[in-house]
Amino acid sequence: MTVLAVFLHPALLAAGAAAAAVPILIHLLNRRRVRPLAWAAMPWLLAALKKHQRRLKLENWLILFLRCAALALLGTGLARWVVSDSALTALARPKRTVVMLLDTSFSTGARTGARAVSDRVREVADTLLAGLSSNDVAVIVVSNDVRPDRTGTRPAVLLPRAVGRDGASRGRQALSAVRPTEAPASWADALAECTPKKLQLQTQDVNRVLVWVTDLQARDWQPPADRGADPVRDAVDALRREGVELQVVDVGGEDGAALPNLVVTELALAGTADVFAGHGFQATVRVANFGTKPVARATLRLFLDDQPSPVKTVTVPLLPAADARTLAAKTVDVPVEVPRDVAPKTPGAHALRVELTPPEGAASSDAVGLDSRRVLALDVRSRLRIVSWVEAPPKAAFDPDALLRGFFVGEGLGDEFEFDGVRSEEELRRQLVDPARRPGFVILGNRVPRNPETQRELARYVNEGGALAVFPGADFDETQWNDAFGGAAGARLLPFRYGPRETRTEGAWGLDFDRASAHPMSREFVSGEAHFVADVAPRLRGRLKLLPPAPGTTPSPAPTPVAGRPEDDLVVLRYKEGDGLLAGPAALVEGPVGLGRVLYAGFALDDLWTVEGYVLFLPVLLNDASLGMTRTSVVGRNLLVGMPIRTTLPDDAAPPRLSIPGRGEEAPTLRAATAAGERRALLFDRVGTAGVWRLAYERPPERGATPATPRREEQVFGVNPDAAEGSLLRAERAAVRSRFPGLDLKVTSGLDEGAATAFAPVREGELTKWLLIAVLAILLLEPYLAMRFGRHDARGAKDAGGKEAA
Amino acid sequence: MTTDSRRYLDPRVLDKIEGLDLKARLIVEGYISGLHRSPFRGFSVEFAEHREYVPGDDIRFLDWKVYGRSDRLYIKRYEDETNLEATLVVDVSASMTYRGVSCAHTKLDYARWAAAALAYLITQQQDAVGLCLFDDHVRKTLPTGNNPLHLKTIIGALDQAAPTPGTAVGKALKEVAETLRRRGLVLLFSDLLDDPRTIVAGLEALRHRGHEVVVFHVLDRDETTFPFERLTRFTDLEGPTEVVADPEALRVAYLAEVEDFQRRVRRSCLANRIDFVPLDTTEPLGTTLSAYLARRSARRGR
Repeated sequence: MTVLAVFLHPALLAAGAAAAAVPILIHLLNRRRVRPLAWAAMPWLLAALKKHQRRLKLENWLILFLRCAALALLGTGLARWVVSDSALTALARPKRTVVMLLDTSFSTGARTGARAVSDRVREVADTLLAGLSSNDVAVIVVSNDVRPDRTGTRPAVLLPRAVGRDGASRGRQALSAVRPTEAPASWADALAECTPKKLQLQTQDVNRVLVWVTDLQARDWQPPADRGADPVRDAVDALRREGVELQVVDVGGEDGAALPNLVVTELALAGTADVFAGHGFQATVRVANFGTKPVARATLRLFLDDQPSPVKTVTVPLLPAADARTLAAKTVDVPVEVPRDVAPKTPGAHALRVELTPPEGAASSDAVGLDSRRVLALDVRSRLRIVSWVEAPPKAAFDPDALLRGFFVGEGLGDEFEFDGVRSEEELRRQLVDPARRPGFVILGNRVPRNPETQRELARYVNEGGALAVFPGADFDETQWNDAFGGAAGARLLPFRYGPRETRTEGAWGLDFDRASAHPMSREFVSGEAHFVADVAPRLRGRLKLLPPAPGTTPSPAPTPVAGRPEDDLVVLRYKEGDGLLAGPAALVEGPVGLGRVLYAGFALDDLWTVEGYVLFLPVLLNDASLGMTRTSVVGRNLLVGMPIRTTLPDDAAPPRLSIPGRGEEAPTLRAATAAGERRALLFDRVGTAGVWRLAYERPPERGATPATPRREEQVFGVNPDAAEGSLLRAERAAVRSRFPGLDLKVTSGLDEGAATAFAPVREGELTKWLLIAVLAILLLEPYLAMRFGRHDARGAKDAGGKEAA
Repeated sequence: MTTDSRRYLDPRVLDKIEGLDLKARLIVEGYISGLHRSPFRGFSVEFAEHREYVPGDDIRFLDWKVYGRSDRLYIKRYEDETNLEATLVVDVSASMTYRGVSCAHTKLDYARWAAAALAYLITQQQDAVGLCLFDDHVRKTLPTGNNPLHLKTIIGALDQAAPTPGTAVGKALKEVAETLRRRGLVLLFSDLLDDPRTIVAGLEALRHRGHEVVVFHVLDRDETTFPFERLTRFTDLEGPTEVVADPEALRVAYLAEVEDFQRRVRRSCLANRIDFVPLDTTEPLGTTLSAYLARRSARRGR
């Protein structure tokens, strides 16, 4: 352990050491000088002693007093005597404790020309440091941690308690790291970090002032919506109770509202949730102008992945100005089409980036550049291979394969799908085990695989991520199905089973979308083109009940039910009951099984595509089911700065590497799976930089693949700043003061005024230095006086009158 | 003896001369040989002449009849007697053994020389001289006599006198006053380190009995100047007292004490018509004695 000793006043240390030698020297000198002498005129000597006894007593008393005073002053000095509101305060050269709370939130990146608000923040802090005297204490706290390995969303102490010139020097070094982060500030948390207890201030750190250097961004100073809880006010009150004076230094400037500020508030796919490799797609870019002057012909550029050149450039005709008083802006949606020739050619994780800039030749550049950009993580799909094994009923007048093929790959339907209709179980099994022909979506109609091998392969296919749709029929043996896929662990295909079959000769069952269902397919149909269900309701003659798995047969992890009936979040369609106002039993359910998904229909396909009952919703249903059930969820792939990255990895994935924009790569920590079938989870909570984050890992070769080469997979995360943080609207000072009624908050602007106020005449002062100087003076004076007064000691003396001499 | 012998009378030189009698002789013959008449007068009952009164004369010898007739004051002078009896009273207490830092002899040595010299002088004048040695009381007494053998006895007694602790000058003087049967001259050699009141009482006792007294106050220069600078442990020559003092700090007060003492004693002597002669042991004894004797002679009108 290294102990570092620092003396704030080394000159005094040297003086004290030199002074300590003086009494020793005097003592040594005196010892040498005592001379023995046989003396005759003792009566006169004693008389002289006695005559001047009073003076000698006074001298001795003086010496004693000086010694006692030295000790008393030393003790008082060590006790660090602080005087308040006294004339001595000026003598004490009062000490100050300055805590600087610096705004390093996203908004301090706003620039006027070459200077940003954060430059002014640093300048104010530097001025305060320059004003420190040798016994002042300084602390620097930032609202958002600026250290490179931090999120930037939490406050941090940049300079712990530091004293005098050394503290000022270390403070300047710390200030070099001050920069705008990409997250908003939480002022309640930042102020809570500034309490004397948190900062480990000492009792002698008197005259405490908190200098809050901020750009007075309006959103920071708005009172909370509910008038009950106000964490910022509570934090300020806590500081006041601990004797901390509060002062706000406004570095936002008066020209915030006049600065150009174009913002991209949203970037999303339009028209479709799926992007296929090699296929064009559409996106919607929502933009706004937070400046007070309209901007015509702003340029919107689109980039794919890390390509330096835009794939598309769009001119935005006009962005209207924001309200001059509130800077509230109208957003404009800009549709953008990414044509096939520039769209991603390969499936996998990709990113779409947009950048909005003022028109070329504009007088000034955007004040806040970071919020003029946005990224969107995409999962680009490969062509979906669909395999169906459907048997038509006897004497059917149609070919199921032809109908299904027409749903997916018919003329004019594009090439997102590949369709293969098999005629036998054997053929189905071959497709399931062939890596080159492995389907992404399997449709079973009126068929139950009987071969155990086929059953196992089908179960494995779903559990490893495949999608399956099952439609019973006249020849569908539901008992056999339940036995096959609800029994042995290797062939389980839960979480549903078929119940009793019902037929109806009179009338028919009608279908209805569950308007209360939370299932995405049901919601999409309800909110989308669902009118044909009501207009042309399919009429069903037969139906099978859909039941949850038998108790004890549900593999873990089981799907988590939402409130209400357990199966409600998995129901897509219901049968109509009675007059149709009541929701009937489930007719179509869909849910996860292992890593894949299964759709169970309680009715046969031939009920829906008979000549009389052919309805259009079946192709829509199957199309949406195939895409929705095989779509990689991008939930959690697009987040704001400060939000954690949460994702899962396949069990066979090698340790991943996380690529962080502007910082290189890191090896994040994985949490091991706690149950069979659960994927390993990853949580990374230091997301402090906007941009495209990539998580890459390798997996073993696919089963049966040749050559057997490891697969490299990647997940992409789009991290964006909070667009609202880019607002340059400044709070008015009256509003700032009224934010804390009864506080008399000082709000100053600029460096000089702020610094002068921070160092206004103070109330308390410490006298330690003067006390120690007095002790030193006494310690130098005492031996001199003792030497001058002399030593007088009469033993066995009697004066001329025979009396004992003093 | 020629004037060259004077250089032998420097105390430093005298100290080197063996024999007190020789020293006494050198002193007297070196310095006092110029005196034709004895500076010491005795007491006679035969009227000789009148002389005008001068302040200091014993008013007992004022001739009131003359004053009544002439309004002028005159002293009766009597024929001197060759039966002057002088007694040397010498302090041999331990305090007299003090020797200054820069001095080779003690106060006692100096007193011996002075007493021996005066004894020699008196004997030369065919007068009688006696001796008393004292410390806190009279230790030795030699009656008066005027033959050379008696002088030798006195000088021998002086030479062999051993210092003893304790000083009581006043008490010793009272003893001397009671011992002497005839009026005469008492020559006291002492450092007078005693209570001045007792000293004065002793001297007055002698004067009351009609003796003429001369006090030779023998002090070392250190005792009159207190020249010490270093912190000093003063050890009493006559007792267990020790004093550690800074001489520089005490000098002024000490010298004031010395001056005050001498002033008191001198004033008392003056009031009692006693000659007070300070003797500095570093000064040539012959010079000091001859100066005194000359003053004494002048005062007597010679």
